[in-house]
Amino acid sequence: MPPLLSVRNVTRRFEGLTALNDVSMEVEPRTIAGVIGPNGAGKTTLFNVLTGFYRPTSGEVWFEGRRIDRLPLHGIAAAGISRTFQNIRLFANMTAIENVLVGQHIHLKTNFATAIVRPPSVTREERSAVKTAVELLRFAGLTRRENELARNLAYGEQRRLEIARALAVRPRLLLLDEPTAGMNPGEAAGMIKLIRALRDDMLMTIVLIEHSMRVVMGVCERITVLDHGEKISEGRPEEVQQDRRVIEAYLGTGQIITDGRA
Amino acid sequence: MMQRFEATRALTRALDNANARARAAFDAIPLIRWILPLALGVVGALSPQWFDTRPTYALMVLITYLLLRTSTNVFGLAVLAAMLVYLPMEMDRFERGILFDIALYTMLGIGLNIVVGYAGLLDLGYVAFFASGAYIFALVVAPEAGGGWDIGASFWLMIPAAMALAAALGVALGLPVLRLRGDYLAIVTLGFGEIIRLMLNNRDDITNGPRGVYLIPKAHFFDKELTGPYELYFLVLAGVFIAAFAAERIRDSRVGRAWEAIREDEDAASAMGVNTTFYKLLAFAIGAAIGGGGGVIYAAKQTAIFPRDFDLDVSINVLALVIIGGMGNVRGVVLGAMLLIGLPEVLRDFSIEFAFIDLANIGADYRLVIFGAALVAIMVLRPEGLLPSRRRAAEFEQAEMLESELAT
Ligand SMILES: Nc1ncnc2c1ncn2[C@@H]1O[C@H](COP(=O)(O)OP(=O)(O)OP(=O)(O)O)[C@@H](O)[C@H]1O
Ligand SMILES: [Mg+2]
Repeated sequence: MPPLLSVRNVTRRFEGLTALNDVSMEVEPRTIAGVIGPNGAGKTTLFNVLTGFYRPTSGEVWFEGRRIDRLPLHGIAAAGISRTFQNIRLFANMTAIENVLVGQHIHLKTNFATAIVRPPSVTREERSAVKTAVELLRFAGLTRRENELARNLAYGEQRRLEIARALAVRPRLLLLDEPTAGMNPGEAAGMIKLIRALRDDMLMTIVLIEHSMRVVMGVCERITVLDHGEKISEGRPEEVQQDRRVIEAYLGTGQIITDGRA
Repeated sequence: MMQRFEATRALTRALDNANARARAAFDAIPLIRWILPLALGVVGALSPQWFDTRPTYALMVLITYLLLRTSTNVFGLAVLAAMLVYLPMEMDRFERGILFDIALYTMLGIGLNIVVGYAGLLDLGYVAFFASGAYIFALVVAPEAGGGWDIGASFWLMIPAAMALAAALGVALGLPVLRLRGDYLAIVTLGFGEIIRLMLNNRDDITNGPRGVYLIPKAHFFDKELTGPYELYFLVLAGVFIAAFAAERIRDSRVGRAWEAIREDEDAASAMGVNTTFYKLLAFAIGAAIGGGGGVIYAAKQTAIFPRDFDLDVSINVLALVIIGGMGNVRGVVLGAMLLIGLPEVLRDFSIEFAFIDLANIGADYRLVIFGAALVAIMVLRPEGLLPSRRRAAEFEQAEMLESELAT
């Protein structure tokens, strides 16, 4: 199978600082890929390049045989990629269900004129959108939280809502930036279950950034390791774990890679 | 130095506390919200001159407030409509003028609310669209200005035409300022409003400059000539209802959600596939179209318009009434317009004559002071406005229903 996503020699500089240096990686359909690396390694920058937030200084990004690194920001969702954010970025003063409805934006057709006239097709569309949203919230474990304002949700619920909102885009590639960050072990275990369900039940391809080694080693089939903007290793979890360069990169950070606890 | 800073901080804290207490008291006694308008209404009803400006006004505010607070059903709308039609019949010319202004500013408020309240774009130059609607209409139909097309048919065509042109102007303003946020956007739009006014003032070859455009012909409704504020009041009332209907429906749709998402987090909205450029321009365009429509009606009523009718005050008043009423909510706009436009006028004959106290002219002399104090009081007690937007009841119920369907 051809890769779903292919990052080709991407470099991204910020005035003197090279956040990504000639990084290449490929993601196969229906796999869970991990991106790891110490703080400031360039992981989030990579996601920002993939989702149009940053343009690569050089290099290309291809998705489903189409070059996407020149698309406008809002074109990425239409291309079939959606994401969550490391520092949760929900629509805080909208309800959970409204957040998910915004996620469905590109699949709905109502415009300002039909919104005013409100023919039956609009009522029908809205009704089915709400239904889809309720189902997605259910899937993400947010049953009965539909009408809660996003900012009133518990931290773990907010992370789940971000995933539900991203799923509403109906992406073929889902990018999760530290989905378990700040969670207690119980919440994190629930999140890992959800991520597995995304692939197994929703047939989703996922790239996730993680600090928690337990999460990465547990769910990812392939791992890419970044350090100072460079790709220093790549492979199956066991391979990466043994890689001398990876161990060195992590040694300086005080994180212990092998004991299963980050 | 440090001490002064401390003192300021302590003062701020004390004020915050007092503010919080006042608000808590206000909220703890829900009846206050009813007693206040009720008292106004009783005063109005007991007044010997029933249709004196002040009591009538108090009564109107009361009824509107109560109707808007409780959910609007058919009955509420009918009462409101009856009041809006009946009251002006009993009013004199001056009072009808106030009523017209309230309705006109309500219409403008609904338009600006789309830009500021829904899409979150702080626009301080809204008068530009109001002015362009008025001038487009006036220049085409006033013979003096070299236009002088037949008004008979053209008035009803001019309204949509002027709205379309104002919308185009809205897009023209929107394009260069799209990347600006918050304060910067406010400053640039403020400048835009002034530029339009200065252009009207200085391009005498087109606009007749400060001398204005006058002898704007009367509009006709079938055979009836629409002469004064009374007839045009009904026209602007129709405008208010159409604008309010459209605004609320758009807000409760995919489009309204896109605006709200942009207001909340523009980048996250883009990541969800919302074309933020398009939706911001759409907000500017719809807001401008409503303002332009208001401008046409204004010009038709005035029969003479001047650049000085369109200065910064208009933008500020419209914005203030949106904020006082409660941002993001059409109902709030109605109430805001009643207070902001109506209050300074009715305060003119406010007087206190009681035993040896004789302040017969207090209203005439100090009305703007009283008005200002009232605005400050409202903002201290209700920083979110009098009628802030409610969460969407429809979606709420729909979700509840589906939830129980799925559960079974
Ligand atoms: N917009 C920007 N302007 C300037 N520098 C930036 C910008 N975005 C990221 N950087 C820099 O690029 C480097 C990589 O940042 P990035 O956020 O990608 O790291 P990360 O791997 O996600 O780290 P963390 O684990 O802390 O989230 C950092 O040094 C950061 O300061
Ligand atoms: Mg990061």
